[in-house]
Amino acid sequence: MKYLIPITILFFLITAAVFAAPAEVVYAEGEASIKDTAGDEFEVYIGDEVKTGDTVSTGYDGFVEMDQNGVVLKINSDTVFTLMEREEGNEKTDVFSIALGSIKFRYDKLTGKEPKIQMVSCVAGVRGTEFTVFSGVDGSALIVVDKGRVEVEAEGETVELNPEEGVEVQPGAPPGEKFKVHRDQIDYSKWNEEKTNKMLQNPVDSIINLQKRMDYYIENVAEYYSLFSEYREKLLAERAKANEIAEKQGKEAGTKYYSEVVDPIAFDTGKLGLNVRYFSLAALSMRRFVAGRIYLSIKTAYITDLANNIFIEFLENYNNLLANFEESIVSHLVEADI
Amino acid sequence: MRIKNALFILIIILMVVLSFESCSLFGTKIDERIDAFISDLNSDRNNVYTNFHPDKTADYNAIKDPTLTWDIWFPAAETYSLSNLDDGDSDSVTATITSTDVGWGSKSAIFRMAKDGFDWMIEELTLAGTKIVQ
Repeated sequence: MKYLIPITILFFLITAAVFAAPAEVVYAEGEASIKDTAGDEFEVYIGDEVKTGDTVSTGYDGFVEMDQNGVVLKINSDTVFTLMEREEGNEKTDVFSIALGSIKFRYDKLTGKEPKIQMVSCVAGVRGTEFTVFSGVDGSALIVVDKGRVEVEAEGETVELNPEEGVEVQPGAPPGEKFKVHRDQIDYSKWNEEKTNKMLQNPVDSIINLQKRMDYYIENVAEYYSLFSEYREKLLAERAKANEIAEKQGKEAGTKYYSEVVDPIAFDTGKLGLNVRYFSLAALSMRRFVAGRIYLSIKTAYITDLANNIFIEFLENYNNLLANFEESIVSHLVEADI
Repeated sequence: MRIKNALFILIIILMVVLSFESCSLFGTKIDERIDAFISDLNSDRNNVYTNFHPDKTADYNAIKDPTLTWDIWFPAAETYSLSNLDDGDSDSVTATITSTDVGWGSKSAIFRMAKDGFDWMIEELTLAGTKIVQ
């Protein structure tokens, strides 16, 4: 017991040091910007630090290379990348979120605690040292492994990719069949063009698929918020109990109860709050970078025929998605997020 | 000649005063920032985040919502006070925070500070060994 508190403190400090490391920009060219947590946006320069909550966006000619503790991220053109944070398995962990575009990852070494990679339609667990993820205009994802292994999870199903294997995931669906692919064989622009064409052919399906993913975020926000509220109530009750103990048994006994019982509950409550924010921000990212772009593309395609039944049906579903987002997510965001 | 001497002495006095008070004239000092943090914690929790560095604090947006951080770690409707402040090292400013909540008692706090222009801001806060804001 004597060593328990120092060990616990050491654990928190170590995990904080490992997971909260900012990424450093080691190369940048073309149009590229960083939007920080205060909502300010500025041009990317070599040497800039990208910390948790920051979003890096590249334009049509932009390219940014970053290094985060030996992980090299090559962010290609027309990409939106956010360094996020969530709680998983009782630990705070970084998440690399790619709302749109493509990024190539290269790991010098694997520690077993690599950040997960979040796309609109799936989450990838890193076991490989070199792979590329593509996030399409319709929210679908493509993951291609060069070296090592990567686990891709969507809708409760997991696919494990080995070297020179790839998989595509549609929003709201489990991972598709994996396929063989040679290094650098995938042309992201061509793949994304196919996604755009498919989306224009089936606008209603595209927005319904996205709604399924929004439902997933909303469910998680609701679940974590419910747990958060439950823990907050528990926290209040235990605080009252600590004060009762202090009154009856003395200040020292009350403080002891507080540090042994109340503080761990406060810690867990904080982590649940972190996950509420994580899923809320993921939903915001999808609404802004994917749903918003789909709406613009479809409206442009039907601009001369807005009374078309397909457009009307699309619009109904799109408005539903926005209404669900407003109702279930917005209250968990702050003004600067938006 | 007398006037010249008086002016010279006045300038010297002014320079000495400025050298001691330069920080408060040109920005917020570390102890002032931490006092402001405690004051906001006691009186206006929606304002506590303004004591943190907007570019260096990763949780900057999260701490704008008091229910996600401050109310969890610092029970509301209590008063907090600061003692044993040691601001010799801006990377590790140590202090003790005491609450009127008897059970909460006193906890050690470590503030990592960073400059934002002329003002010292809090970058990270560790309470009783747990990093609650980073």
